[in-house]
Amino acid sequence: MKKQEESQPIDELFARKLGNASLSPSPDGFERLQARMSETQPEVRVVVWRNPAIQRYMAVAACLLLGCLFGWLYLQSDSVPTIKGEQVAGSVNKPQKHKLEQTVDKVEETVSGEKANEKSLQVGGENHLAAVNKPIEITKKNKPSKNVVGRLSENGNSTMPASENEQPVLAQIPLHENKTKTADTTLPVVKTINPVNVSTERVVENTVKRAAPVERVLTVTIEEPTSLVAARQVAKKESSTIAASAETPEKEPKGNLWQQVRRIKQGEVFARRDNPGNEDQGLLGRAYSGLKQSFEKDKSEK
Amino acid sequence: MLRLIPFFSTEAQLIAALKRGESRAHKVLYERFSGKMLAVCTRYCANRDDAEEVMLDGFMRVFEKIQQFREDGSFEGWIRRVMVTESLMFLRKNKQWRQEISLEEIPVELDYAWADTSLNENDLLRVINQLPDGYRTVFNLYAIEGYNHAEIADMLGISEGTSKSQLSRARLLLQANLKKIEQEPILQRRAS
Repeated sequence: MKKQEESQPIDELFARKLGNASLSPSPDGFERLQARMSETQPEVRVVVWRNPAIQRYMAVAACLLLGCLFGWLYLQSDSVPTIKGEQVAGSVNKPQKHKLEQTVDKVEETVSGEKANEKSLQVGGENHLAAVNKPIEITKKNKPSKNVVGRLSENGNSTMPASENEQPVLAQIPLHENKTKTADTTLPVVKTINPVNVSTERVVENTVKRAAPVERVLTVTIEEPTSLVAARQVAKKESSTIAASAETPEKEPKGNLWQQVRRIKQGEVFARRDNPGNEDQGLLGRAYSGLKQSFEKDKSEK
Repeated sequence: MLRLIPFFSTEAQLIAALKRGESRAHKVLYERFSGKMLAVCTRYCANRDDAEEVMLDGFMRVFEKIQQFREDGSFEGWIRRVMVTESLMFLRKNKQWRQEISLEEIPVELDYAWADTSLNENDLLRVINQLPDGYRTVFNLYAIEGYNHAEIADMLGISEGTSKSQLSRARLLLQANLKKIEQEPILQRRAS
């Protein structure tokens, strides 16, 4: 704003008199202004990413959303396919089978590590079961192997209760050993159910005959339980049935979330709802039951 | 008597409160500047009611745009510019700029000393409000607000020559009107 060079007296007169003139507004002027402001109140623009209060709510909402998402995914993974309302046996028994196989593998690994200095016995398997029924040599020094086998027997209790009363087949102990050492030979696990293992027994007997007379050899044959074999056969049959009717599977209704939460609260961190009757499904539950059984075993031994 | 403690003792506090959107600050600002701003709007709008409406619109604009005010200049000057802009917008919507009247371009000899002593603000406002809108606006912008012809031409969307001619005609009209008032008897002037 530049004042023009030509300034006349009349301009100065008006500028001086009216430059700082003041008039009294109407008394209700501010009320009218407030009313007009409330009428034309602009819409509040909520800038989400700059508002810290909204950021807090957004964080909570995101957490809830993630929780719901993972819960939904968990329930989706838990859902068991059914055929006309019946649960598929193979899918239910799968964790047990897997568990048993894992235990057998552990035993094999432990025993194979211990028998590195011992005489090994090679037994060729004819079928899939032969791999499981591989005879194992355990020397008299193999005290840890006893524990391992004991664990196997404890874990196998739930899956093969019928085989408890059956006689051990392949435990051969030389007679010239001390009485103190014979205590080790009463390993409780060596059990056979399947009569298919005759050839295996022969091989084991030959092996024992070939062994040095000084050494005491314990041969253990671990056999897959009949229930597992039966379950596997049933699973094969029903998997073929599922493949045939996989186009129209009925979804199982969603499980009770509260029940799962209660089970988790009881200690089953990763408890699944596949087998609600089995209390040892959760990681913590399994660990706890294993410890409990080992303690009981030690007590009974003492 | 109770002495009222002002809410905002300094202008910076008032501006800060306005930027926070406090309604108390709105009221303080209105009470502090409404008289002056009404006079500004009355110089442009001629009608008192229109001037009040324009002033209220101007205050609303001030409240809206307060965040844009950089505190490096006069706050009152900024509010005055907002009011002038609002007045021009009002005139642009409702009036014609190039309203011209025929008048004899004979210079009038006016006693400015008499005018300075005898005429008050209301007399001068009444005189200036008798001008046509275009003349009055250009005269206000040039003589009182201090804009030059280029700025006036830019603000009003007219040429500089038009601004100059309207200013000279406004001056002649004002002088003629003031001369009439000077020649009137005092009693008749007071009655009017």
